[in-house]
Amino acid sequence: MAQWLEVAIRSISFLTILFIITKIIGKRQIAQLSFFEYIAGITIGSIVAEASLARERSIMDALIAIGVWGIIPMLADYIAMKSKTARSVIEGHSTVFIKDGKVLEENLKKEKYTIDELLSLLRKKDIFSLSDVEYAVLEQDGNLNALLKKDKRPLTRSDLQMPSVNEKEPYTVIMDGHLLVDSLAKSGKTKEWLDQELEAAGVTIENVFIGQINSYGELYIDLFDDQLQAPAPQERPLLLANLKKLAADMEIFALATDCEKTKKMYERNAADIQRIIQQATPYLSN
Amino acid sequence: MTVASSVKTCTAGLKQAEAVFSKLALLSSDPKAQQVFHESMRTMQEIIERMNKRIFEIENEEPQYRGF
Repeated sequence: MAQWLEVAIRSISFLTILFIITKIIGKRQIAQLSFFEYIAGITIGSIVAEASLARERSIMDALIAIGVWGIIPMLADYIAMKSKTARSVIEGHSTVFIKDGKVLEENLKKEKYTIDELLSLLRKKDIFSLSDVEYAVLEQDGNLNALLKKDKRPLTRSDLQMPSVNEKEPYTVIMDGHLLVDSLAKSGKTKEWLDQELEAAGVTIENVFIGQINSYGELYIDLFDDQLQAPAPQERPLLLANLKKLAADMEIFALATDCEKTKKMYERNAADIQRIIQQATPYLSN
Repeated sequence: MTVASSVKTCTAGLKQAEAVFSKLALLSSDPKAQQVFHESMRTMQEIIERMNKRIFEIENEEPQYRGF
C-alpha cells in the first residue's frame, strides 16, 4: 500500500474512533472540568497523532491505549458521582482566594498563583479594582469566579423594589424559511396561528430567515430581504397607551357630569384602570 | 361630539382593550403574566358593564341619541 494512502486511512479511522469516544464520555470531556478529563484529553490526542503517523506501530496497540485512556475518565466520573470523598480526591476542590474583601495569601501560595495572575483573572471577569470584590474562588478547572460587593453589582428589578416579572424562553419556530414543527409544538401554538401571524405581517414563510415566538406569544421575524422592514410586534405598548387614554377619558367624564352617582361610577372606573395600568405595566412595556 | 357618542366611543375602546388582554392571557407562556392579564381582563369586563348601564340610562333619558 502506498505510504500516503496508509497514513490517510489511519488518520481517518482514528478520527472516527476519537469522535465516538468523545461522544461517549460526553460534554464533560470538552469542558475538561476535572483533572482526569484534562490529562485524558491530552494523552488520547498524542496517542492518535502517534498512531496515525507511525506506520510501524500496530493499530491494535493504539486501540488498546485509547480504550484505556477513554475508560479511565469515565470510571473516575462514575466513582466521583457515587462518593463525596472520591470526588474531592479525583476532581479536587475549589480554593478561596478572596474572602471578606481580603486576599488570602496562604491559599494563593498553595495554588502557586502570583498576585499578578490573580489580578489578570479578575480582569477577565471585568473587575479592575480589588476593592470591588467581596469573595473570589478558584474553581477546580482553573477558572476564577468572583462575587462583587453588593454596591458594585448590577442594578436589578428587586433593588428598585419593582414587582417581580418572569419571562419564558423564546422559541425559534422558523429557520431559513422552513417551519420547525417540534419547536412550534413545544411553544404551544398551532400552524394556523402562525399562518395568521405571518399573513398579518404580510410575508410568506419562505421569506422569513428567523422567526421567534416570545413569552407573550408575539412573533418576531427577520426577513431574507434586508431592504424590507418586518413590522415589530406593537400590541402591548399600544394597549398600555390605550389604557392611559381610557383612564383620562373616565376622569373627563367624571368632571363633566353633575350627577353625584354617575360621578362616583366614572371615578371608580378611572381608579380601576389606573390599578390595571400599575399591575400590567411590567408586562406591557417592551 | 355629544356625551352619548363619546361615552359609547370610550366603551368601544374598553372593549378593545379587554379583547387584547384576553388574547394576551391566552398566548402568554408565563403563568404569572397569564394571571395578571386575566385579572385585568375581568376588571375591564366590570368597567364595561358599568359603562353599558350608563349608556342605557343616557338612552332612556334622551331617546334622541339612541343608536349613536
